[in-house]
Amino acid sequence: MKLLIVEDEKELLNDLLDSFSGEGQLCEEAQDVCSALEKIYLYEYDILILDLGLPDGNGLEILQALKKCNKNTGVLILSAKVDLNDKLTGLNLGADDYLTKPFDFAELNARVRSIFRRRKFEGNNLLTFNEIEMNMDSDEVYVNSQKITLTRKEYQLLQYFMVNKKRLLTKEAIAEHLWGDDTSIYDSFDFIYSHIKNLRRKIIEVGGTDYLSTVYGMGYKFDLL
Amino acid sequence: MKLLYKAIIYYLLISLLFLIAGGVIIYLKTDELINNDTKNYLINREEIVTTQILNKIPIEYLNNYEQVIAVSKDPAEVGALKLSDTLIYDIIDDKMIPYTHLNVVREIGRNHYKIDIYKSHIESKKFLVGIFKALIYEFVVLLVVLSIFNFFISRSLWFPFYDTLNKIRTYRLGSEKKIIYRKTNTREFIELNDLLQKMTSRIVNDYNSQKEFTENASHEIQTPLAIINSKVNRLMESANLSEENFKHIQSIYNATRRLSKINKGLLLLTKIENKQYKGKKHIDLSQVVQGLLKEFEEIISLKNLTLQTEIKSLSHQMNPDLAQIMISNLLRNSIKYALPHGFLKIKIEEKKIIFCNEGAPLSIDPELMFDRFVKTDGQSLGLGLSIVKKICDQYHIDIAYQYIKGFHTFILYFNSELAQN
Repeated sequence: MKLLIVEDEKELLNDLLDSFSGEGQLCEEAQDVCSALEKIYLYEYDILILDLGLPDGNGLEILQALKKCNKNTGVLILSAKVDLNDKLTGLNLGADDYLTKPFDFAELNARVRSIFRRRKFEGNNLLTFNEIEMNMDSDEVYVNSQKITLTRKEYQLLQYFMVNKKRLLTKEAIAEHLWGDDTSIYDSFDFIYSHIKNLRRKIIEVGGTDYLSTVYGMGYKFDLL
Repeated sequence: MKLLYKAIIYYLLISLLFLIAGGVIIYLKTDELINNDTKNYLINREEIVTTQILNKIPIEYLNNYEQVIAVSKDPAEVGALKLSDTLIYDIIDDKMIPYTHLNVVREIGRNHYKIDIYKSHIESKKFLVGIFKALIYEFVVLLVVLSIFNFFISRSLWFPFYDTLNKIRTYRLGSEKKIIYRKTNTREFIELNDLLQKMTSRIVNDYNSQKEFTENASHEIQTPLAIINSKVNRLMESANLSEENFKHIQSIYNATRRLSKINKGLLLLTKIENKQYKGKKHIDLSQVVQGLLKEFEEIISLKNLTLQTEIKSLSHQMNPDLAQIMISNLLRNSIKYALPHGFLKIKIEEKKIIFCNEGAPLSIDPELMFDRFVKTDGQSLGLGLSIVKKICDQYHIDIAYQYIKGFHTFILYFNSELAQN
């Protein structure tokens, strides 16, 4: 997966680059509209991560230019603008997703992967981790080639873990991934706990390994033991 | 009271004062004139009578109802002429009538004559009444004329003033329209319009820069927050953190998220206050409620709440996003504070939506319920209900809170007549 990250805040840009490179992705950067335009005209990217407030203009200009040359690049807007209208404008102009700052890497990663999957339908829509296999076309999950039935939330949860393996996922980040902005009413995070418990049980029942570990009782990590 | 009416009243009061003063002066003057006249008349009469007696006209011929002449036996009474006021009964009018009475005893020839002559005041009285009537007519005419005058003045002279007033009344801060004042050549109104123009343009400028400031500030705050969050993310992922350090980082992480949410909430609140959510539509609120209930299905069942719904069709003219936010905030609030295994009732009646949940009594004053940053627990931001209130205010929706028999109840009242305006 080849990414172009357009972000003028140096610190944030570096973290983004490190994070995606760490995932093994090919990353390039641009810090203003001008150089970003140059890059999208010259090269092909799978994903464009786009900040809107850039020193020499609005990031939406880049999005418009990209759509004009008909490139099959997925676009995720990563903006500090929290207004619904900004979001709608971005999506109407052809962005695939919109994430507001501040954000969690796990969430960004999950969304980028999801855009990538939707865009590049090259037969490989499987997510595999040892004996666990997730088919994202049919929404089916196999453990040791045996199908297990998951609820919608359990499925989302497992997918989130598998996309973000080795990352520490806080309960808050998980809650936000599952319920979006509604986390405030899920006051204690017992709900996550019950979903995780069920997920674990279903995997273990068919002889799968429990790859989930808790970290100091504050978050979870999905990784080889 | 209209300024013009006030002016008219003052005019009338002054006119009344002058009319009364004039009336009194006229009365006194005429009264004096009439008195003198009466006196002269009586003295003349008496001279005529005396002459007639001298000319040997028998006194029987001289007597009539206004003059009585009698032969007096008492010579001692001869003397000065006496004038006095007296009342005499009038048979025709059946009442007492004031007269001036002249009384004198004269020695004519060898005889003494007692002469009494009377002069009625009735004419002079009528004369005075006539004067007062005239004055009253004048006053009434003045009243009518001033009222008509007032009507035309207010139509023409005051027209620019009322025009300006109307324009200010319909003006809404934040709307694109500028006020264009009517041209006038009245200096006061030119000055007024000029000042208003300056004032509004200054307010509009301040308002715009305030709006920009709030938006920019919130935007600018989100960016450093994003950096903090990003660094915290990295720290959390770094291996070999001690539990203690991890906890600290977790606290920073939570605080950052909280700050970001407060920031977003305040921005939303400011935008609603600034009326930046435009575009009204006919929103079917029962659909909004049902859609949201579906979204919250999971949490409702997880909290084991017994949901009772009674949904009738209800729609209101408002911005679709704000409708969604308003209902969603109230619904979340009800779910959040509902006792597990308790009741949750959502009712839509005619012009009313009721959100009702079983829960412990409030620890805060219900009066403060809709204020910013008032919260019952450490977790909430204390903005949800104030956002709801702001939205309600904008669309003339009344909101009320009650705690009845263990149930927290929020009621939205929709007054469609008000909302149309």
